[in-house]
Amino acid sequence: MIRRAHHTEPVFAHSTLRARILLFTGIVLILLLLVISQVLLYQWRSVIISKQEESVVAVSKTFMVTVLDALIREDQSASAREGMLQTSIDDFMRSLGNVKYVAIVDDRQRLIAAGPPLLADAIPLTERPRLSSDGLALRITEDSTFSWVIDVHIPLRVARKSWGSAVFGYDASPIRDELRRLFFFLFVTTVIVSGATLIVLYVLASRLTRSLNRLVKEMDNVDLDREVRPSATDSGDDVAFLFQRFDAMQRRIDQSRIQLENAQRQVFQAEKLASIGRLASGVAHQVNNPLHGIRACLYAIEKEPENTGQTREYLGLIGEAIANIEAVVQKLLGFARQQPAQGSMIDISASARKVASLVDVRLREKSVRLALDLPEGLPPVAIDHQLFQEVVMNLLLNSFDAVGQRGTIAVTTGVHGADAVFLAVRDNGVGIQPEDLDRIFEPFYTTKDIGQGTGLGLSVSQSIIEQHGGTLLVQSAMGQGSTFTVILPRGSAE
Amino acid sequence: MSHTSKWKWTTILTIATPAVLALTVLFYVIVMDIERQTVILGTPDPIDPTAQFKPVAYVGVVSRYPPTIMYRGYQPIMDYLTANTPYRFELVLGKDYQEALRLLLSRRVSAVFLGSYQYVRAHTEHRIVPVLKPLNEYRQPLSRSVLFVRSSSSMRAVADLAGKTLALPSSESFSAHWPIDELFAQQKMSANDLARVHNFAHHHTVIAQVMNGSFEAGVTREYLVRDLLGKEIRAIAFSDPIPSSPLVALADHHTEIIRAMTEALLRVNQDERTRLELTQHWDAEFVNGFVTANDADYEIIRRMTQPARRKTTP
Ligand SMILES: Nc1ncnc2c1ncn2[C@@H]1O[C@H](COP(=O)(O)OP(=O)(O)O)[C@@H](O)[C@H]1O
Ligand SMILES: [Mg+2]
Repeated sequence: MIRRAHHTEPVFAHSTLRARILLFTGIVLILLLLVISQVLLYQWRSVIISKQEESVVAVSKTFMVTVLDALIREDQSASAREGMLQTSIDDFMRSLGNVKYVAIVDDRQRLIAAGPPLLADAIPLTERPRLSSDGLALRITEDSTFSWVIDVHIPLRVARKSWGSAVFGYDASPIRDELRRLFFFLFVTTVIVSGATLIVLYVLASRLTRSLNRLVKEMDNVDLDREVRPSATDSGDDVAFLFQRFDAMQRRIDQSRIQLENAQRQVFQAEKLASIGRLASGVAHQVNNPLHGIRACLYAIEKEPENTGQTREYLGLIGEAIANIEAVVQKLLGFARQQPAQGSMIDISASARKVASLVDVRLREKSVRLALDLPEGLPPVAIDHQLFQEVVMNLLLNSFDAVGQRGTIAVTTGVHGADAVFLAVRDNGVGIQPEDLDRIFEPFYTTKDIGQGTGLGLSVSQSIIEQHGGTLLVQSAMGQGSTFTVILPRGSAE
Repeated sequence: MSHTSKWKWTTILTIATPAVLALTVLFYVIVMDIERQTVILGTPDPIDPTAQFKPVAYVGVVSRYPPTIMYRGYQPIMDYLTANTPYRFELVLGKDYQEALRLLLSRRVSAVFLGSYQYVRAHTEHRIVPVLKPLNEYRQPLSRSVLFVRSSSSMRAVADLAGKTLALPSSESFSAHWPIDELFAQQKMSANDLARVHNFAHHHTVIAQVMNGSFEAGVTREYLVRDLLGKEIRAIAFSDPIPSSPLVALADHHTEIIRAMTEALLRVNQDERTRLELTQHWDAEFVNGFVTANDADYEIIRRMTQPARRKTTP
């Protein structure tokens, strides 16, 4: 019977584990999502911008052809096509809608034509900071008049002939609108994905911790004596695996326990046989005396077989002697019997009396006085009387060894507290060294010669008593004697 | 233990939440700031500042394409001439052959690029002379006209043209006269056998009309469709080689300019590398350089077109 664990609170504070999983995974996740969405956004951003740039450059280049054609025609016939450039600029701006300004300047940076016409004078477009390049250049900038614009500068050139340059301002706010939409889309996506993942994590973490807690609870509830095992979870995850391993471990523990119990039983038996050995001379004496009596009776009967009166008397004596021998053998057999009976209730005073009568003859060898105070009517105790007798036998034999000639051994039983009984064996023997008080319960600890002591008596006795929920106490003073007290809980009427 | 964890939990939250929010705002600001500068193309050719002080010489050309495209092909020639003569050459576009000729006769331009056929015609009435004529890829001052159809067309021979539509360039060009005057004459056909014959002002219009399916066949100069032949279009017949379109000047006028021009343009194909380098962006007609021309070269055109003309003209 192995002591039970009585933890009831789960070992894993389950919110802690879950919180930690959520916290760290959540932070890592959100950071990761942020980084990913920003990288995505940046990629999209450059795609959007360069797409828009390409588009405005293509539009500008196409329109530049119209401008050049108009310029060349104006060149060729100065009077005929006056205003054609302005018309095409107006058409261009009207048809596209996203053009904020167009300015055509000649090689000397003089404004030739511009749109919108009203702004042409107000805004000195040609003085706006230009890129140093004379080639095709593009600039996205925030302007106080036009807000965000894509400013395209295209030289009006064919080979080495230059007519000046064209400056286009396209509305850049669609880019920003698209970027804003994209940003909020990614933002919302990030939030939703993070949220969803955290919820999934939360659920998973809860399930994990729940499983762990169940495992812990199962472990706590394990009764190692029980053969029926808690059924493992069938969820098929790692926790189920853990349960399986745990189950296997319990089986192994069972096996060890059975082996241990077997070994213990053998130790008990060995110790019992040893005790019997110790008793042997007393027993021989107890058997011898009646045998002598029988022989004397038989001798007398043989001499005077006709004396039927005497013969009858002596046969009666012989019968008594045989009864005595039978009683001794019976007691011995009773003590030596191996299998303890389960679940019996005994009266410890009666049990102690029986043991006392078994060792009585031996005590007489040393003229040891055995004082018995064994009151009747004590509450019964749930213990096998074989085992209990063995304990008492051990204690009596130890005391017998400890006392000298004419020593005294007192055996007392009584009620201990509200629901326990006690049995005390007191002697006025040699006593035990204080530093040895702990060691005497160790198996194989003995101060006696080989053949005299096994060192198992007290350890066996202690384990018997403790297995029945009791305690075995010792008090001793050097040279004055020792008292061993067994305290056992009174048996409940189950 | 759970107590410390709870403490950490709230601390991290109170630090992380504003941090994440601040990061988000920062990202937003960065993303929305799209200010940037891009140079897509640098200046291709530096403009020679001394050129504007040189005396100007004008060269006329028939505007076969929109002005910008004409300038793409001819301005590099003008740039070359400006760089290699004491004059600054400027292009003057004439709407058609007539206007180009008028530009020369009115002396607005010193020289004009005319079609071979138009030169032949004008020569009889005006004192004009051919100065140079361009070489073809075989180094001959010749060019051919080609009768072509789309590659997918079922037409294989000139006879197949009966009942079909035909796009021709300006009636002032050889390519417009050759099929009627010579090709159909050989086949005992006339323009009336065709469903429709139309003269477009420019060669490139003819090519476009056939390519987009508006016309089933067309005639143009071979060098103009060299890249398309055997791919999108298929040739049905070629004319005999005729002298290529000349650069024409008024006899005894602007002789200094003409001389400088002639010398410079003849230098183009002094060696292969120079030529390839110089003519890289020139109109396809002139990439192989020039040789000097004289009126006798164009005799063949007179012979080819005049008999037919006599037949069709009442
Ligand atoms: N009543 C006693 N008085 C003195 N010593 C004792 C007494 N009981 C036990 N002991 C000491 O405890 C030791 C162990 O006792 P036990 O376990 O019964 O083994 P064994 O009797 O075989 O030596 C004994 O050897 C002895 O030294
Ligand atoms: Mg003993």
